[in-house]
Amino acid sequence: MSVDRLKSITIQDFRSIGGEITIPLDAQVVLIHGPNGTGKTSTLSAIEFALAGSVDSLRRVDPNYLDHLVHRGATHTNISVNVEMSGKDLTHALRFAQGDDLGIAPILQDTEAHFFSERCYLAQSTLGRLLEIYAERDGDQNSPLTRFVNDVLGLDTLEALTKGLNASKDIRNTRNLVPGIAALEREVAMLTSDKAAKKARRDRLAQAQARILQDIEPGLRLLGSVAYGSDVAVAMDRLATTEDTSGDISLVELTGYRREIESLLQRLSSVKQTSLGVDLAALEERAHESSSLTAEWQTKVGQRIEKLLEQARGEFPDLASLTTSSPAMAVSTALARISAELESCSSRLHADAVDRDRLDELIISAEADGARIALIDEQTATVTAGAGEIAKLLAALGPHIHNSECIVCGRDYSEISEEPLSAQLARRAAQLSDQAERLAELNRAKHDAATSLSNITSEMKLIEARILQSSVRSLLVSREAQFQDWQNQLSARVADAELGTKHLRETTQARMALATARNDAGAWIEVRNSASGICQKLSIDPPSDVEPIDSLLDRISTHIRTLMTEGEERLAARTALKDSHRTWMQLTNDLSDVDVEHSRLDSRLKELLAERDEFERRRNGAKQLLKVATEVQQKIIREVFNDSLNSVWRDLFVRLAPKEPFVPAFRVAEGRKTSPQLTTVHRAGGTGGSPGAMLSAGNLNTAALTLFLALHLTAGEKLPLLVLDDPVQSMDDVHISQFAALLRTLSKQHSRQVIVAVHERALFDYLALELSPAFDGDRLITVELKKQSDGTSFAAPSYHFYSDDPVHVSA
Amino acid sequence: MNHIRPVQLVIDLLSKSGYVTLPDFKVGSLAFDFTKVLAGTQYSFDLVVIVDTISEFAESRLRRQVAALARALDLVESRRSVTLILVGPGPSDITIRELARVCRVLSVGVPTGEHAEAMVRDVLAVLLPLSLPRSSVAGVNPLSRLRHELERLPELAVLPMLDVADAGDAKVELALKEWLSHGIIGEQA
Repeated sequence: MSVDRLKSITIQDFRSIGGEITIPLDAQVVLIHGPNGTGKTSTLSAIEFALAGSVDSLRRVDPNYLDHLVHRGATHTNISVNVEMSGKDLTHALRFAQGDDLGIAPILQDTEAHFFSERCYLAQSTLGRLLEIYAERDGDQNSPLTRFVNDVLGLDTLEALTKGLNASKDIRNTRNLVPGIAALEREVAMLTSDKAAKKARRDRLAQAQARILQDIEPGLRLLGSVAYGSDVAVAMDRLATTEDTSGDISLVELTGYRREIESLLQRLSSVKQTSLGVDLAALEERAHESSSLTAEWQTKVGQRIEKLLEQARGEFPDLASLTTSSPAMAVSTALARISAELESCSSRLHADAVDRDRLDELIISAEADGARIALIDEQTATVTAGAGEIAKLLAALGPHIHNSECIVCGRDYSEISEEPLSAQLARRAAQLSDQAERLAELNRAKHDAATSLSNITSEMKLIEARILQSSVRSLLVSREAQFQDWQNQLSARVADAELGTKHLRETTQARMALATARNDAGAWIEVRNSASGICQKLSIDPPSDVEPIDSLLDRISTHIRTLMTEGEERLAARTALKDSHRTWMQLTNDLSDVDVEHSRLDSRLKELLAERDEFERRRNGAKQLLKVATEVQQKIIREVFNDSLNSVWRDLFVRLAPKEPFVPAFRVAEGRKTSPQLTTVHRAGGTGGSPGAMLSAGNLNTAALTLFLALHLTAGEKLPLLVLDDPVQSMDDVHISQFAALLRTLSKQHSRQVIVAVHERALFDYLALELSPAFDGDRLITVELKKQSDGTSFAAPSYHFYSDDPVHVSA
Repeated sequence: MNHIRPVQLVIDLLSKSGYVTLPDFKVGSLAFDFTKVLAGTQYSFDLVVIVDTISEFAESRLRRQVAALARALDLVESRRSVTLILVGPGPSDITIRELARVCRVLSVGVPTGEHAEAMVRDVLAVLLPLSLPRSSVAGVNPLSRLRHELERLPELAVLPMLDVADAGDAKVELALKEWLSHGIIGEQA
């Protein structure tokens, strides 16, 4: 439904209009005149308000214009507009009070309302804005031109949309708009990095585990992990947590066996040192041979010697027999004994013979001594006994003889002799002393003889004592002979005995060698059996009958060594395995921790990523919306600012400024979001500078006005209304006359209902003349607005109808 | 011939646009000696006076003639406005200003060269019908058009930013912020 024509409007207490005025509008052209402040603009605003539901022209200059719609001092506003819509009359009444929620339903809806506000109603502010666009600077989003284009084309919503959405285009701006996304992204980055670090750590741990698996695999094989299947980790776990139950011989046992082998080897070595390589048979042969020789010797010689010895044993019972002593020893012993005995016999016999000879001598000597003693005794007998002592006594008496009286007998010596007694005495004493001397000598001689005799006697007694009895002597002689005989015989058998001894020794040696060899042979077998036993215990191949003991022992040793090496390796492997297992378990724990951490990070990251994805999705939606909105914007701009608009604008501009060589034009760069640029083109071709630089102020005004009209005209005839609020304020007369012609053309040729408000009286009159009805049926309404003394508004409309013009024109 | 052609050009242009030549032009009984007088019959009510300034070289006479016409029209109370088309070398500015007081003055001058006809047409434009391009620029509400575009993108059509586009970019940005923030933990509060 479109409004075809405005018919009238009644306005009460609206903005500067106080009271109620009714303005008839039912004419092709309506001119409204009034000095400033009489309500021209209010009237036009009331029209816009009634048609479009808002007054965009006011809103642009005052966003709170709604608060001031009701006339100052009035309580409410009434606007009633009568229009022709689709051939029918319609009256639309609006009533609202100050402060009302002005959700008033206008006559026009949405698009048409917008169209009216932007394309049909040239408010003062619109013209001002149109002029502003010449101050355009390329690319300025908030430039007047951009604002103008947006407003005129109703692009401000799209512009608001695209501007509002602009933050979605560049992520930095989006981040600024939504600080949370920056935090989210930071956290995502942090978590991603953390997660990568965890992943890397996990990889390292897994690699470490893999290395462990790789490293321990030989050990596991060594420890028989086959039993645990191919899962090395499981095998390691089992092997590390269980004891070695592989049934092998323990190292302790092996050590025992090794010692046993060592002792066997030692034994074998001693055996080897004694009799290795001895030919037992030879030994036996030798033994046998020597035994035979011995026996033969025994028979042939030994017995004789034995017989001799037997005989000799009659004398020397302790003589060793040949059976208990070596023949040589026996013989030599016997010989020694016999020789000793023989010598003893011989010496005894010799000594006896000497004794006998001596005895004979002694007997003679003894007889001589006896004879002598007897002589001495004889002589002695002649000698007073004790002459010496008497002499001494006499001598001693001498001093005591002082007279001839004998002091002994008391007799007087003088009696006998005349010699003095003392002399007698002295002579007697001398005689007696001689005699004593002789006697001493005799005594000495006798002593000597007696001593000699005594000695001889002693000797004789000794000799007599030892002098052999004849029986003894003959026995000795017989024994001497016997011994001599034995000595001779035995001496003749010494060589034999030595031979025998040699035989015996050899026999003994051979026997001993044989015995040793036989003993060794036993040891050999024992060693072999032990070795065999060890073989059995070690579960290695038993020795074959022909396997040399060295090789066997070597084999066992080697095996034991191998087993021990293996065992030690196994032990080492197990130790290593346990270490590895500990490390493994630690790694597993670490891995588990890392996994938990990783999974935590991952789930958190997923949440965040989901949030971010949702954010991105929304942002992309916004971006897409921005893109589509921009495209629509561009499309609209291109559609509007195409050559059609330029051509209409040019035509209109040229009408009003025929002398101006430069004509304003829009240049729309293809594919650019930015608004079209204003430029000028020369009528004769070629482009000029921007209108601001190329056009005079008046022509700029003309350019603005014609741009508005061009925009109105290029929109078609959907709303054939043109409401202009004092559009020619700064026009010169030439322009005004042109403008009047243009208005007439618009009204007449393009059927626009033109409502023009002017405040200048002369201009009003001129327009009234220029726009006066020229053809039958044309009508012009002029309205004079005034303020009455009580402040209320007053409208005085005049109708101008067509009447025949005196200047007739016949076509 | 040279001086004739522009006049004829003017006449031709006007004749094609519903102007008729008034061969024996008089106001009342008063006749005027102009090169040519035409009158609009369709949209224009104007009297169009063509003066060849080469033949009518005396500016004073021209001023008198035009003034006389204006007065004559006033006298008969004609509402026709007068457009004076000067073809040929333009008179002085003083004369032009004088003339412009009583009529619309269009000075064709001496159009030459390939753009001559276009220049004449430009000067006469105000008298000629205004031809509009057939394909008009529909004054569709851009937001409605956007919504129409979005019919093929239903997921975008529901975006809340669209609903507040009327309220300005700040509100749109706020809506964008809220919409983007929704779903981000810590941004919902």
